[in-house]
Parts: sequence; C-alpha cells; structure tokens
Amino acid sequence: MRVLVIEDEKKTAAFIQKGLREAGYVVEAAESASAGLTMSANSEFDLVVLDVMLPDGNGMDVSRQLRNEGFKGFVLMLTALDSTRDKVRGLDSGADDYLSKPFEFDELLARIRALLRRKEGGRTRLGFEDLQMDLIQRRVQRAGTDITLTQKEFALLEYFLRNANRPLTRTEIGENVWDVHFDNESNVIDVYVRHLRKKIDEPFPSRLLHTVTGYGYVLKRGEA
Amino acid sequence: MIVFRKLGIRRRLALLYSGIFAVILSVFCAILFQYFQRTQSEAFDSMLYNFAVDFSANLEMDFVGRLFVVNPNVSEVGKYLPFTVPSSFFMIRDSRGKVLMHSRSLGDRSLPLNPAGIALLGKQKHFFETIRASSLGVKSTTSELRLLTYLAHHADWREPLILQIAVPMELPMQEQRDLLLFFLISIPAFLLVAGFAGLWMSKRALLPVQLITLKAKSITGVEKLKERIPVSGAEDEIHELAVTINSLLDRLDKAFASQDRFISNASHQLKTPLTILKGELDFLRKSPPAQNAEVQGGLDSATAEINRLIQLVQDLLLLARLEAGRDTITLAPVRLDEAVLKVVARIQKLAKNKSVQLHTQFSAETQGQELEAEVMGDEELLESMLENFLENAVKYSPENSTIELNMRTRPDVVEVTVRDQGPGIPEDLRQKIFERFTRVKPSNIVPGSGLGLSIAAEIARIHQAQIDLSAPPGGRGTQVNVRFRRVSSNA
Repeated sequence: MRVLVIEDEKKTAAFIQKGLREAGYVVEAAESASAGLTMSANSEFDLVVLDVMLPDGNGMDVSRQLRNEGFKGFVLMLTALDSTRDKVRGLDSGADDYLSKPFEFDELLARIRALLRRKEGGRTRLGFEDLQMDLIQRRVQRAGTDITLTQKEFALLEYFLRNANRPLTRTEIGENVWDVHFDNESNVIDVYVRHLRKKIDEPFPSRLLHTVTGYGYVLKRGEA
Repeated sequence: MIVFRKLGIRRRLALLYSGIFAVILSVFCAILFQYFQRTQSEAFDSMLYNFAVDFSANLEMDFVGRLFVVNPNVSEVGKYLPFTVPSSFFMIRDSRGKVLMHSRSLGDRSLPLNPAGIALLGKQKHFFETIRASSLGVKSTTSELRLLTYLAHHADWREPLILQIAVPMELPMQEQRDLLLFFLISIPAFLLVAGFAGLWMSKRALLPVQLITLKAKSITGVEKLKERIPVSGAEDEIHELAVTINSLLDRLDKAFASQDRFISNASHQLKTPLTILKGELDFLRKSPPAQNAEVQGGLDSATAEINRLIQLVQDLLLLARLEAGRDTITLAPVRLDEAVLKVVARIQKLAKNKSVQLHTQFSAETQGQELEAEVMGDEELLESMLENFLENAVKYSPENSTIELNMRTRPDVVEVTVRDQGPGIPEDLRQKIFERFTRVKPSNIVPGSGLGLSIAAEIARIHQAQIDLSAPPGGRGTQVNVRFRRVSSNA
C-alpha cells in the first residue's frame, strides 16, 4: 500500500510518515504542490494525504489536478480550517475524506483504513424478499417502488438487511447503527423502527419488520 | 402625526404637496374673489350713477312747482343696466329732505335720509349706501339694496332736488354665486388631480431609491458582498446615494475579507505547532521509554494539556467565526434527531467513564411525528451546541447518576432538554454563565475553558433558538432547554 504525503510543514510530514510507516504503509513525502504532482505522475499511489495550505498553491487545486490527470486512488485532505464551507469545498474538489488539524493519529489511521476498505469493496447491493438496497447510489426499493430514507433510516435498514432473519436486540441495534448504548428506558430505537415501518411496511401488503417481544426486532418474511 | 409617519415617504410627499397646493389655491381664489367683488361693485355703482343722471334729466317741473317724469321708461333707451327698473325704488325730495315724489312700489315707506346725509350731499353731491330690504319694509328680489342719494341740479329749478334710487343687487349677487359655485367645484377637482400628480411624481422621484433598496436587500450573504448597486450616469442625489452605499459595501467587504483572512491565518498558525506537538506526544507515549511510570505520567499530563489548548484554540476560532455574523454561515434543513444521536454517540464514552447513565427519549404531541424534527441550521454548529450541553451535564454530574435527554416535537417547535443531577447553577449565575470565561467551578476541579456556553449562546442566536436554564422541577441539578422553530412541513 503506497501513500504519498504532501505537506510543507517538515515536522508534521515527518510524524505522519513515521506513524504511517509503523502502521505498515509505504510512505513518500513531498513538500510542495508541484513536487507532489510530479511524484504522483511518476509512480502509482493508493492514497494521497494532502495538506490544504501549501507554499505554491492550495490543496483543492492539487486535488482537482490529480483527478484531471486520472489519479484513481484516494485523497484525504488535512486542514487547519474546519468550517463546513471549507469542508464542502475540499470534498467538491475531488477529495474522498477530510480531517481537520490537530487530529488524533489513531483517527487518521482509522480513516485511511476505512477508505481502503471501500476500495476492496464488498457487496454493493443488499436484498431481502422484494426489498432492494443499493449501497452505492443509496437507493431503496420495495416491489419496484422507490422509498426515500434519511441517512439514519438507511443505516438502520442496512443493519437489518445484513442480519436478515436474526432477531436483533435494542442494544445491538443502538451500538451498530448509532454507536450508542441506549438504556432500557430509552425509546429511540422504537421510534426509528416505527418510522421505518411506516415507510417500508405500511404501504405494502406484507410486513417485513417484526417485534420480538421482550427481545427486540427482526427482519423476516411476513405472514400474509 | 404618528399616523402620518406610518404612511411612507411617497404618500407623505404627495399629501404634503397637495396640502401646499390647497393652501396656495385657496389664497389665490380668495384674492381673486375679493378683486372681482371690488371691480364689480365699482362697475355697478357707476351704472347706478349714470342711471340717476339720466333719470334726473327726465325730470320736469311745471310752473306751480309740480314734478313729473317725462319718460318713465328711461332705462329702455337701449342701455344695459345691471338691475331692472321696475324692481327699483326711487324717491325725490327737496333740498331740505321733504318728500316730493316717490315710486309706487314704496307705498307709504320712505328711503332713509338723515341730516348728516344732507350735509354730506352739500360736500360731494352724491353718495352710495347698502341697505337691507327688510329694514326698509319692502319686498325685493335680493336681501340687500344699493341706494344712491344724488343731488340733482336743473337750470329751470329754483333749488336742487335730492334724488334717491335704491336698486336690488341682482346681477352682482348672481355673478358672485356663480363664481363661488365654480370655486367650490373646481378646487376639490384640482386638488384631486394635484394629489394624484403628487403621488405619481413622488413615485417617480423615489423609483431609483426603491431600486437601490431592492438591490441592497438582495445583498445578504458574504458571498454577495462583492455585488454593487448600479450607479446612474446623472450627477444627482440618487447617484450620490448609490456611490455612498457602494463605498459602504466596499468597506464591509474588506472588513469581512480581512476577518476571514485573520481567522484562517490564525487557524493555520496556531494549529500547526499543536498538530506537531500532539503527534510527537502520541508517538512518545507508545514508544518503549514511556513504559517508565514517571515518564508515562508526564506524557499523559502533557497530552491532557495539549488537548485543552487545542480545545481552547478551536473554541476561540469558532467564536470569532460565529461573531462574524450569521451571514457567513449557511443554514439548511437539518434533522435534529440525527444530530442529537450523533452527539450522544460522541459523549457516551465520557459518560461511561464517570458511570453516568444517559437516558435518551424522543416524544411528540402526535404519535409518529417524533422524528419530524427538522430545523434550519448548520449541522456541525448544532452538534457542537448540543455536545456542549451534554458535556457540561456529564462534567457536573455526580458518579452513578442519570442524565435525561429529551427531544420533544411540537407543531411549531422542537425542544431539546438536558437534565442532570449535578449541583445546579445558582439563580444569580444563570445569566452570567453565558459570558466568556465564566465558570461555576475553578478549572482545576472541573476542566474546561469557560467558552463553551458563550459559543452555545452564539449558535443559538444564529439559529434563532431560545436557551433556558432552570432547576428541574422538585430536584437538584440543572435543566437546559433549547427551543427551535421547526421547518414547516408540507409533507
């Protein structure tokens, strides 16, 4: 796995290199936008860690140019600017992820791992009975009808689909979908499940989401 | 006056304009009427005088001294008179005032003449008076009569005679009435026209101002500060206004740009050394020499301080950005429930370390609408505000206590309430706590910069949300309540 770090601050570049090497990546560093572009043109990289403020240009231009030159790997942007506007600009310029300084090194590693996982792929489509989910386009259909879901409803349904026919406890759902351990009295999971049911079950003749009394919920074929 | 001020400059101008016009017009008409009346009565008097002269020429006296009128229809000699002869009254007296003859219409009444009048006649031969027909006791076509008392001479007469003629002022009255009627109809009509003209004129005059207002209104966000108001070619007041507003926009634009530059430069300059320090510390803590307990302790403490410094820098920069105004922040519909849950996930570890239970509950007035909590906002800022409240709640909670987090959706508002079982905030501190660097407890007991709530207050201001601090009903602790206006759901 080859990583290119484009960062003008020598010390920052040094500890990123050191840390990434320790994590087992092959790392090279460039101190300017032009040097970075030359290096990426001359050899293949899987990931570019790119600082937004460089002495000879800004990271967004570099990212755009990388994409124009046909760079297929991931771009992770590092910046001291953290307003939403800056993030949107960064992502729009072709970056895949965005991390604001100062950061926890573990977070950088986790994000790199997440990006590389995306490349290795996995299933892009999930389905159960007449329910279809496209993970890339983030589309859900049941019986050919499009269903609009919010981000979290989508994540919830994805978790149910990945664990079809297996009863899931509220604790499991909370921890896997929201990363939250809800206590017994919390009604959050029930509220979301009810909401999801309204969208994927109610308009159709058979139910897919079932309550397992005293346990949790399960996605299974409904009794007609 | 208050009503007048509410009318808007256009109508006010038009009203003022027609008011001035009304005054000028009325004064002008009054003067005209006066002048008309004067010339008219002069003309009337000279006609009456001429008639008297003609009449006296028709008087003959026989040898016994009896008077008779040679041609009683003296008026019909093709002369135009402003009164009719049959409706007039006359009376002839001798020079001492004794009545010699009078018109039949007078009956046994007589036209007034006193000794002072006779004396006056001696000086100026004739004089005019206006008398009331009612005081004379006769019937007449007008209420007032014009009376001429004239001293007539004749070569054949032994002494001059006094000729008195009273005539009704029919024509002058008629003419005055006509003129007044004309004024009464035409003045309001003119005023109406003037009012509309004034409205139109002020509209025309204010049109460029209105255009400038519209344009200035459209310059809302920071992105639009580059736009300018079109400047007309004419060197008039409007041109000056446009130029002035544009120079104001220039300065505003520069101020925003420099503030923006300062914030990003400061971000970069402050965060770079912090990033390096933090990175180096992270490595040191994982490296073999750190296994020494003393070194480990020192590194842990340094890491904690670095984290505090980073938080402080981030808070200060965020506060600077927030104060740059709501214009630099773009608001979009945000699902508040998702923001709440994201923050809960982040805060969980902190709560667990203190064995504090986080109890999350969603509710709505109508069942099934718990999640329709959409508000206009900036997701990151909203999360930052909620995180702040929860972080504070955890910090001040005693171990093994519970924090209640409720989101309640109502028809127009969404409320998020965070309730802890901590020591609570004394009532006199509840306002002060939103000021910068205010803390309830010193930072060596509870860590933090004291900026969190000022930031939360700023974020609330930008979102037009309302924060209430109170003590939970019947218990210890603090209750923070934030109320947002919901995005009106058309779905």
